[in-house]
Amino acid sequence: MSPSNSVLEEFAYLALSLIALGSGLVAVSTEQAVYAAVALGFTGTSVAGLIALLGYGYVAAFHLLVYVGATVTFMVFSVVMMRQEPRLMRSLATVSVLNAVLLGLVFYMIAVSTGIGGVLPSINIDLGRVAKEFIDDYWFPLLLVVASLATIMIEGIVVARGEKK
Amino acid sequence: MLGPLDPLINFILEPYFFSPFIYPGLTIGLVVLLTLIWAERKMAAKVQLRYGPLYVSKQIGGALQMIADALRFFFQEPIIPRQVDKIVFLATPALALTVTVLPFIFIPAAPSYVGVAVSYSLPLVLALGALIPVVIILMAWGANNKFTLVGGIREAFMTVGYEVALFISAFAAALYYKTLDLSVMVEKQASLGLPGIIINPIAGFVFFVAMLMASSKLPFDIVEGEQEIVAGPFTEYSGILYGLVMGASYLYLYVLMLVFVEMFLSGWLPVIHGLGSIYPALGGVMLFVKTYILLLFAVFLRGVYGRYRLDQALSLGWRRLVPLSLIAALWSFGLLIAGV
Repeated sequence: MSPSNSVLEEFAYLALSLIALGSGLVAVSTEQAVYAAVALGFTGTSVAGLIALLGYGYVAAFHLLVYVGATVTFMVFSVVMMRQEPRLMRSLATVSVLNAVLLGLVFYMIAVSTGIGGVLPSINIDLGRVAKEFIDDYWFPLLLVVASLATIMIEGIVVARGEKK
Repeated sequence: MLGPLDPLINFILEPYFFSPFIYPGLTIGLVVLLTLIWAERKMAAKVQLRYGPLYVSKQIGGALQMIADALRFFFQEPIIPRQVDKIVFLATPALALTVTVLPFIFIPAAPSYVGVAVSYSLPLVLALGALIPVVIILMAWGANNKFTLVGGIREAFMTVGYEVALFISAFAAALYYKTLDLSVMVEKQASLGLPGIIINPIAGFVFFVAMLMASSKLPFDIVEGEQEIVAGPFTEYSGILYGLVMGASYLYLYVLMLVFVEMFLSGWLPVIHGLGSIYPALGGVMLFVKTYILLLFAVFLRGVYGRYRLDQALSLGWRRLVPLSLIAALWSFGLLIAGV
């Protein structure tokens, strides 16, 4: 990797991290549900960018597809349909702050124990091999999952078709 | 003479610049936009026994009308109403256009010619496209107007209606090709000697209809519905801001049509020999020709179809397209098992 590429990557990493943090804060602090959902979308997009920078573009694409596009639209849809504006309960504010501090400490401890700034070993995921192992070693749970998903899908279609009656 | 300009020219000709900004990206996209809107208006006028655009450049059938309109958008004062959320109101048109242009980086334009080559270009293009409804909903909310809100809610409804069918039909086609790379899909069609639409016609049909729903084109322009809600989420926009949001929806149709042609109509095949040796991107001229013809067909539908109601479109999405897309996936699976 050339030095200019490395600098660009570090800049992108920093920018995406800041966007993720900033939009995450907006998501939990804004009073408008739609803005909160969209801010969450920005957080998801930046996290997808960070995942891609770490070398897992495939995961990033599906993160974007499922957790940003579909989920955010669905959340906006639900909020508008349900007309339920989320409200921050004052009694929970202290607990939330305490929770955030504790979580921060846990992440810090993990970072210290794994060595900050150290190089983590890269993992190469062979999706074909993963699929083969699933089919060979875990065929029964896989069958159950497929059957459950198919049932849910059929139920969904049946419910949708039944609305007109 | 060109010595000092060489680095600049080389930079422009690099695929990572040329693809998103020249072809198939923004520049050609703009040409497509201007000519397509003119063709749409002309065709709709012919069907309805009118002239359509005529007075600007009468000799060439009013073809310059769109350039006149574009210039008007540029020099018109954009009005910012008092009740809008100013930052969101001003930022979302640019954001919508940016998100629409991003997929061009990953769409191969010619044999071995793509801005950024990745082995999962199909989900990446669809994922970037899935961000557009979020921006439109934000736009509708920020404009703070009854018509924009109704348009925003319609957009959310429509997204839920078409997205599942669009993705399943695309992955049904990918299942048969055993790849998520659009370039490899074209190569597979070449090696089979058949376009994808013959191999899996159900997936092709579902993708085409869902694509029209995704880009809010008639008969599914429910989000804008000008006789009902003025212009939906775009109601409060004027001048260049309106030009940007209107252009974004046409550009998204162009993006999806490129993907459709690559998945189901053999992409850039047959390659016209000699063009690719001048500049590799020119090898994709057939991709552009096929895409443009299909775009003309898509906008022609405006003349012959009435607008669907929201409930009709959702019913079509969930009761017809989703089951059909599942059948398409089973079809691909069956072909693979049968070893066809």
